[in-house]
Amino acid sequence: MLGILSLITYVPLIGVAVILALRFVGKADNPKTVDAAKWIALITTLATLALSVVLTARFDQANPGFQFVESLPWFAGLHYAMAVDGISVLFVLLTAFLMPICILASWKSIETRVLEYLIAFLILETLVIGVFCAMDLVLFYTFFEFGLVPMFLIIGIWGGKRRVYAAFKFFLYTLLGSVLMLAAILAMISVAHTSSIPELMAYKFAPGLQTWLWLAFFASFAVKMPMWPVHTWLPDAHVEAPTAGSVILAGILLKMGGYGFLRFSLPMFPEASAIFTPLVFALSAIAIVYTSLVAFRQTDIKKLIAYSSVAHMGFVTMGIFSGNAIGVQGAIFQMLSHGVISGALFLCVGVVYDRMHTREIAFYGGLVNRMPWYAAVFMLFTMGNVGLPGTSGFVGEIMTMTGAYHASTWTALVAATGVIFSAVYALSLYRRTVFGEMTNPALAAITDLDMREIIIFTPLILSTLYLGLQPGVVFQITQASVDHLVSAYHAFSGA
Amino acid sequence: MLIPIILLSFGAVFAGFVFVEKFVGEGRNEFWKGAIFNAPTNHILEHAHHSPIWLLWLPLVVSTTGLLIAFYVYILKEGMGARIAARKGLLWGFLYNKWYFDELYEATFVKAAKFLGDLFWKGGDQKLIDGLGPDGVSAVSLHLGKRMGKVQTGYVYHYAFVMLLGVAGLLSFALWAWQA
Amino acid sequence: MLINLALAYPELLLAVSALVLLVAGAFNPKATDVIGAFAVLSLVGAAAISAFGPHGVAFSGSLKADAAAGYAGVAIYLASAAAIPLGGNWFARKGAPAFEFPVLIVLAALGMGMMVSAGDLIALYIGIELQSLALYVLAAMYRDDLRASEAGLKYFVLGALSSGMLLYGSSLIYGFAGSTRFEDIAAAVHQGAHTGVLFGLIFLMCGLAFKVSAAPFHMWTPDVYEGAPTPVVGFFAGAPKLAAMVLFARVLYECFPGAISQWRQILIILGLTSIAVGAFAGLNQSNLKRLWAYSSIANVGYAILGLAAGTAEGVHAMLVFMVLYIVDVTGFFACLTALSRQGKAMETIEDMAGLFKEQPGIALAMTAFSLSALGLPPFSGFFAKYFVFKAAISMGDPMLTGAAIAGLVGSVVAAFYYLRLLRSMWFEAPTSATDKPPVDAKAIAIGAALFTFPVVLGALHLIDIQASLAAAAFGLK
Repeated sequence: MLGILSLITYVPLIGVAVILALRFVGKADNPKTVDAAKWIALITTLATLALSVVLTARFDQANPGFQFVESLPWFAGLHYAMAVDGISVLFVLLTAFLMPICILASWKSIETRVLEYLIAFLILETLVIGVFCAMDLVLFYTFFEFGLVPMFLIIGIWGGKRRVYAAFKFFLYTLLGSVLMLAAILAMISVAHTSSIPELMAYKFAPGLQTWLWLAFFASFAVKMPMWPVHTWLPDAHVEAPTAGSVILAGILLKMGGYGFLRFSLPMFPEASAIFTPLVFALSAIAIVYTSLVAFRQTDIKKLIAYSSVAHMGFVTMGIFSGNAIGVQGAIFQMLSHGVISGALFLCVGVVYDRMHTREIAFYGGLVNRMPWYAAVFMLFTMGNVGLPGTSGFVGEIMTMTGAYHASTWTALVAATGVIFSAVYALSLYRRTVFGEMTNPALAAITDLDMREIIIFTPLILSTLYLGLQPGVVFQITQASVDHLVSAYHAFSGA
Repeated sequence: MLIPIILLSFGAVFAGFVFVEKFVGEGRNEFWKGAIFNAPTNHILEHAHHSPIWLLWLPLVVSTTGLLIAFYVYILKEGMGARIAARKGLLWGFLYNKWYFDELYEATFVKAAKFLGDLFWKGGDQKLIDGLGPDGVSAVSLHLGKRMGKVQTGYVYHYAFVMLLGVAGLLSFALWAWQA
Repeated sequence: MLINLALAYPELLLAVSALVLLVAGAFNPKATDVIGAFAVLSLVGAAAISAFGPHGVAFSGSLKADAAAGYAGVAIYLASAAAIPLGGNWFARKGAPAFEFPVLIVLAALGMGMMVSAGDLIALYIGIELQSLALYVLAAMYRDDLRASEAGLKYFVLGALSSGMLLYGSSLIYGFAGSTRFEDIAAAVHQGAHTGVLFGLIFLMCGLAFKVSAAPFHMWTPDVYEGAPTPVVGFFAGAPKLAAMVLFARVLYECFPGAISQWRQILIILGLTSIAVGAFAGLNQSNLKRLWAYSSIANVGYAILGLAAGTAEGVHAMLVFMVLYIVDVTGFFACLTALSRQGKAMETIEDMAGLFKEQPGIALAMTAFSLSALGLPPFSGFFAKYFVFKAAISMGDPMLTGAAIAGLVGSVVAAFYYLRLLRSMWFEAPTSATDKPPVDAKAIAIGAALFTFPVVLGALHLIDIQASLAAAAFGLK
């Protein structure tokens, strides 16, 4: 029978239906229709958020298994199955949390084809929540792959100058990784005679087969995260996407890769994961240092933040494959924190981009003189990006490094240097854009944050601080499932 | 400004006298009550009692000397400081530029970071990764596509020839592979 | 005798109605609508009989009415029935209404019905020829258009060559096996295939590969698809391929079950070449009909890979794939039929610029078909590929698994040109206004699109079961 998870997943589609109905009733260019559509989208996403909060509140924190299970037979032995556990429930909440913020952020900045834009975002919300809830391999793949289409349209229609190149690159790059995962999925279903994720987690695949399966899934998730060296689609996609598109891309779509590692690679292929851990550590360490140095040399604000996202995801992969509870908990926390902080940073860029229509660092400077509130907000999230204690960024980094230290000292040491590099590029960016004298005459009339922007930033600020000071609320939810995952991993991998 | 400084100077001078016994002297165990951990093998405070005399007097001597020099250069011989600075000697330069640490950092760390950043970005990401990866593969694919498109000449006899080549090829394969 | 005849009722119905309608049309050439309506009725009737009629073997083994013939028959007859209003009205709008059009479609359907229920080499050949001749005429039917005549002529000449190869292969097989009936050939081959039989098999496969447009026998496809009238292409890109694939399966599984390991290699070669050609050669195309021709070459490659598995699962996969594919193809060409600008057809990617604004429904439909052909979930094309690649991978044979992975990578290459179409429709601004689309074409297009998503999600269960029954009829494990 269907339950709350399907409800949360498909509520955004109700919004889509209402907007489509509106389009038939009123003309698409009529400003009244556009306004009404924006409000409908906002209300729908807020409703989804409310349902997600209810879900999280009713989540049983002591239960390490899957809750709110739904299962309907589909065809050829496949099922429509949905469930959440401690690892996925918070990602559902994060998605539902970021979406209304995205809708609000696009309120004034999207002027053409607004209805289609809102429809694309609502469909994307459905698909992303579906990814986190799916309990059947083919259902997971369906949600995972189809999410490429709304993102492709968002980048390609409402994006920047090189949007077509970026959209194609994003789509084809991710698709290539994913078809390899499809081959692995088909092999798994043939061998295990089931497509149910909980059953597959208990199935013991032969170690030789595991290696191939792990590599195929790695191809897909490494591109999604993204890991070095398959990260080059990210800077282009982020830079060319509209502000809200970047927020949702950095905030949520990247996390699907990390979730994939936790849901598939570790539980289903434990021996292979143990064998390939040094590879993942090496790539993570390289990613952290390499992309931080590249970020330091960027001249476009958004590209800099994009590269910093890759660096943060290096911490996540390091924590996941550390194979201990601290590392995994830290990785999950880092993903949640990065979703908020990175989203907020892109929104900060969006604030000045909406006013000045450029992202060049050289154009800006001395913003603090006319935008003190903006400077304060930007400073908070810059500090979060660096990992200042007190912000949520710190907790994730310290825990992933601790977890990695237990598994490989060198990796943790290299990652620690990455923290320094993140301070280098983040503070350098902040200084060049916000501090100093306002030398560019074009900035003379720039205005500070307005009420809508303050409303967007407030929940993000509160989350960053609350999670930074009280990270336990996250760990209480994830503890049981993570402990279960880690103990099963150790039992089967012999690591 | 003067009142706070006078108050602070009282604290600076006398705070040590007031608290020395409690912090590092005989009363330290009752004061810290284990807040500062002392390993059983740690006897540093006993060793401190046996430091050489000149070490104990050194801070006082150096600071008083500095006080006297400053008084001489800036108050007694007013203008001497400015004249020394105007001469821009080596020693003055070294001291004024904070031992050139900033320039040292700039030359080593900052330059290295910038160089590596540019190398990784332009050489690594753009040339190597993108060139071999998406841009390279798509260029090769499009090139292949064009070549293949040319094969489609439009002439029926070309198509028929390809079909016969196909049959001949498969027959040869059959002969070779099935050894029949 | 009478019982035997009952098994051939679908074909009899079609044959009789084709002749009656032909004579009626000769006397009333203007009554194209009525003739078309009756043709549709007879096709639907034939489909119903195929679905619910008796199963058995007739005419001393020539006609095999089994679950596979029934499954394929339903799909073929319904697809043909959809093609009649689509094409008939197109000809009427061009000012060249032809009563022969529905009659030819019925005859082609008759040939296809014979193909899928063939039990021996003679019936196979008759079915193929009947279908092909009807298709050759259909391709060239729009006599005023130079390209259509060229397309028909090319199809005819190359088709004659392929029929020659097929016949030569059949005669070799007959010579070395001693009989034309599939069971007898299977018995003769069972003791180990003689070289001559295998050579004959290769010729036969090449002839059939031409029909399904597998590479390297595909070269007619782009030119014929481009030249022939759009609704006609929508017909012969769909149902004849299914018929030919079922025939392929029949010949391979029923005649040569002992030589599986040998013909599997041939199929892998054909499949991979088709996927490669379809993926790469399509990159450079801007004419949508040619582009879709390459797409269908690639898709047939996938179906062949599924067949190459050599198991009941492989046939099952191929059957599901072809049925889902027929819907996509019919829908796509219905979209193309529906679009025109000041009376001129819109055929290139550039023509489609800004279609989202002009014709949002058709743009959405074309998006659905493109993404489905790409193999993206949740569209029907993904599930088609799911079955096919699963059958290939679950064999455990490294060559077949490697071929499957190569096929999947090929689909990523092909994705590029589908994305180009999407980009043109959604990213660009419209250049000028399009005409109001005709109701029938739009209805078929939207209907097929709705099947592609979301109806397929529910219908898959039914199709899956029917295909299993059909696959079981081949008598494999």
